[in-house]
Amino acid sequence: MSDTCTILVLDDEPIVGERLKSLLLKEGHLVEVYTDPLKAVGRMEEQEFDIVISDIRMREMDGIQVMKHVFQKSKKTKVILITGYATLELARESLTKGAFDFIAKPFKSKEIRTTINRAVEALKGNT
Amino acid sequence: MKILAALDSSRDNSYILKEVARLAANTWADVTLLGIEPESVSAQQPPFTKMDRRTEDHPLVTSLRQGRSLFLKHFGDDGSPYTHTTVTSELVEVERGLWEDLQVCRGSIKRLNSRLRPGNPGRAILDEARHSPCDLIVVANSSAAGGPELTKYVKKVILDADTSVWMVAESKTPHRIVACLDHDNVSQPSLELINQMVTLYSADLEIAGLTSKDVLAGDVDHRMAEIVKYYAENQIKALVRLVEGSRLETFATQAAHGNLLALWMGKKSLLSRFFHPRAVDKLLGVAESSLLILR
Repeated sequence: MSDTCTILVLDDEPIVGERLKSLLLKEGHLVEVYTDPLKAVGRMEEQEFDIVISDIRMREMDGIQVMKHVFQKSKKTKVILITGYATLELARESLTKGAFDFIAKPFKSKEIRTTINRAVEALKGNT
Repeated sequence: MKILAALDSSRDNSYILKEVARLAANTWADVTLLGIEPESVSAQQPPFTKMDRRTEDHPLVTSLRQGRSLFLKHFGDDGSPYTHTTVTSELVEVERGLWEDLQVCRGSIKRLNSRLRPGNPGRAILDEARHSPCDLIVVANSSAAGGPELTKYVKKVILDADTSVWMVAESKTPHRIVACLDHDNVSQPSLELINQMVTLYSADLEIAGLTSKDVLAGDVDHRMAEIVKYYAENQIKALVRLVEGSRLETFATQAAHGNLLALWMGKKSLLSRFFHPRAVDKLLGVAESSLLILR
């Protein structure tokens, strides 16, 4: 596969989604941003994404549930969970349930960029 | 999240490592442990050279390696994001102009770096933060031990860092986080850092808004309501109180006792207008307090 990925970003705080969109577009990826988990899950029913970046704590549906939906549709999608309210249990649960990475807020652009690059390599089967 | 924790070779680092490890365990942060030495100590020690890097003979090396072990001990063998599972080849400059291809073990999920920067400790911390940008610098509370020199370097980091600084105190877990926030320009990373601290300590959150002759209490109220709404949407109950600018120093010094005091001191912060550098001295002198400078 090429280094250009389809990425779905889901965070109920619009400012986070916009920030990630701008960063990922600059990296040459195709990006869709959602603030509503139900709409995001609906969109994932229509299209398989290479990478899904999701907030964990959201009102309608949490990030772990979103991840379950992702894996029902596509096992190879890499899910990166982000959270502003991290706990040890949450971090462990995320990873044991198959998240590719777990990132706590605040984070710098470079951290997301590095994780996305690792995910791209993993999708190419290099790691 | 990326954390830079400064480990002072002249003192016990166990409590700062405990708090950094707690935060790192929750957030699975990339962590850099930075070995530093106050100049008064370094004058009594042999200067650190490249010859010392493979031995435990130099106190700076011993201190750093002990710090790393203590940090990792917090995680145990099971489920640590820093477990060494990935071996990579990295070229490391061992002497000027001489590179060695070393097999380096990295954490399987997150990075734990141990680094040394001998020399002026304040400059060492700021240089490292510039070299590897992080989200939070962690330093020890200078008032607990160590004297004026420690205070000087902690103060330099607090005042000059571009990023948030957490001065950790050897004290009981804070039950309340008192956040003095500029209502207009509080950065998103600052709000997020407060969230992580509230979660880490299961603490109550109190937000102090600043009023002055130039800023109407009604305007502050309105803006504080936006911050409270932000926290309410994230299921965090926040109490609000308004503080007159001229009383800020007294309020902050009192709030620092037994609580975690968080001060928004970004470049656009109004607080810096009311909160003079000398007040930082006073805060550093308050025993048993933790201080979080937000940027």
